[in-house]
Amino acid sequence: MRCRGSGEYVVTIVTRKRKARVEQLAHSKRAAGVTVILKNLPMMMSLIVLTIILVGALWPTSHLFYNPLSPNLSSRFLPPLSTDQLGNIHLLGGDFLGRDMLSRLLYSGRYSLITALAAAAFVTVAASILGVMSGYLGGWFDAFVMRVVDALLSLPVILIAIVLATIIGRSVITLAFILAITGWADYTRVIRAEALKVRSMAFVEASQASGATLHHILLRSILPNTFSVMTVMTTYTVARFILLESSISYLGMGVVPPASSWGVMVGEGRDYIFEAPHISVVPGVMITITVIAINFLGDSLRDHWDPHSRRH
Amino acid sequence: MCALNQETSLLNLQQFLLRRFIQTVPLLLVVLILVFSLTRLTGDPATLVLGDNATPESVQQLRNDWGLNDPLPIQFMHYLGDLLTGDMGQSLRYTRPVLAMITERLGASLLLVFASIALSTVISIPLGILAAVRWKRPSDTMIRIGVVIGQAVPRFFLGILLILLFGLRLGWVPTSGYGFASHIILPAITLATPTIALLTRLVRSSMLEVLNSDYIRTARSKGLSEPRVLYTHAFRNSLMAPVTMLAIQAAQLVGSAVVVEQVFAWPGLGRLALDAIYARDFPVIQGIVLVFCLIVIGANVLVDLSYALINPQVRIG
Repeated sequence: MRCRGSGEYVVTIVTRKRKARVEQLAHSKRAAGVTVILKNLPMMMSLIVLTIILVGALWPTSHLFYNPLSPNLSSRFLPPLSTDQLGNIHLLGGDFLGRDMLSRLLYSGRYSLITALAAAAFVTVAASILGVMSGYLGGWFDAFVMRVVDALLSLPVILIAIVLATIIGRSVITLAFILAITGWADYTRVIRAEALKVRSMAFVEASQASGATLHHILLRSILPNTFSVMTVMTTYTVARFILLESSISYLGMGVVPPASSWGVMVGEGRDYIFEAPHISVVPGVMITITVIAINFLGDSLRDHWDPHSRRH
Repeated sequence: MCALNQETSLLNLQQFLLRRFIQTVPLLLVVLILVFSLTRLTGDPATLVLGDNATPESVQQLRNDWGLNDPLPIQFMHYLGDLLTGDMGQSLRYTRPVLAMITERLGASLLLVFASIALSTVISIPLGILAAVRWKRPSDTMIRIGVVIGQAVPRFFLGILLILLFGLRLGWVPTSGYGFASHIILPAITLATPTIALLTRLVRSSMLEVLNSDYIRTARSKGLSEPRVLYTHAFRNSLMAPVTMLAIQAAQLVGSAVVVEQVFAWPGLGRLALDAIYARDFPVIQGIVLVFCLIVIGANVLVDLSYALINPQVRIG
């Protein structure tokens, strides 16, 4: 009896010690994460730019400089950095209805970003479930998922998305849904490849041997090990969705007024391109900057997880 | 890996094409079913064509005439049957055969897409190689900056910028429409740019990978000249990844042609598709989606075949 008692005691000490060490490690890891960001210039720059864009886009409509929806005759086609007849300054000018471009840019950014982020979140969940299951289970499930992926990758995405948008509606949620169902294929393929890699590793075999349930293996062994790839893929996916959403909106198949997005703004300016180029150019530049920043973030994340790729 | 004589390789080619064909059938069927059912589930084309003031009787009459009252599966089977005989139905809006409308526009779209594919290949391969050879020198940096911007700029915006630049300031080339050979320049550049950026990046990184490999070091230590090392040893082996990507990009290019055609008033299938979508002209939408998928699948087969050209180790089939 006494023996067992002391044994238990030892075990608790060891667990406690190990817990402390694990916590300490976790802490230093977190600290390392912060220094990584600070030391990685591209990552920090893109994070700063993206934060500014995000804060601007989420700024409440009532607190913008001007109402992004109210037309104003005296500032129609007003070039950037000029004042209208009332003496109000418009940093980015006015659009074809005299609405303040800067306010409108921020207001539209909200729709562009939320649509892309929602779609990317949706795709992340769907692709990680499908990819992990497909890679680990193999067999007919894998074959089926991969055939669907192949099929989706060989379709003209924009056309399909536009057709869907006219049919099932053009709200932010339906657009995000459309982006997601047309854009989950390559993400799933990458996660599947990761899961395949992890599947044959020793620790997975160990947990199989110790009788872990399928559920446990998928959630505790496979999924966490695809996390690094997931962060990279999600980042790239957001960029891709911003571009895709802007194309759909440019063609007039995106969100309907009073909602707006950067793509909608470029499309609106298309008719006045020679008289007032800023109406199209400003939102176009905004899309480009945002996508560059997101791609940079993705690249630096990839380099961070896989130093091998940084060589080039 | 294996030396094929002419006859067996021809046989292999036939088998390969046959297999590809069989693989595409389920894909096409899925696409057709999806588009067909989705477009039939919402909106009534008869009401759309006749307008809001039409009497219920005339709407009913038109629905009967077009077979819109039949159950969906029967409508679909009718559609498939017609398709096999080359009949894609009639445009609801223009009451013309869809096939004729598509063939009129097909040439312009194919021209644009293939011009862009050619342009992407011709520009990205030398640029990628140059960047890899001049690794971390100014020319490499310039190319990388170009790649970053090229991958991020949306095609419609690039098109607008080009129209602004060339239409307003320079006036060298026409900015919209279709006719002379010079009309294709701006649309093709616009459609190709993101693809050029992507491929340049891929060529650069796979070339760098190859240049760091052992057999290149061997080739250099044998005393081969640098051009010989680059073009006979490194070049071919660095092309696999970009060519694979080109296959995926083909689908992208065909889809994005819709946007570019709209920007430049290019009279191709994309604009026909947009008009049909605005008007809910189902038979035309179905026909165009089908043709677009066929183009993409065709491009994919071409890419698969070109693997064999690049790398003799890859056997067809």
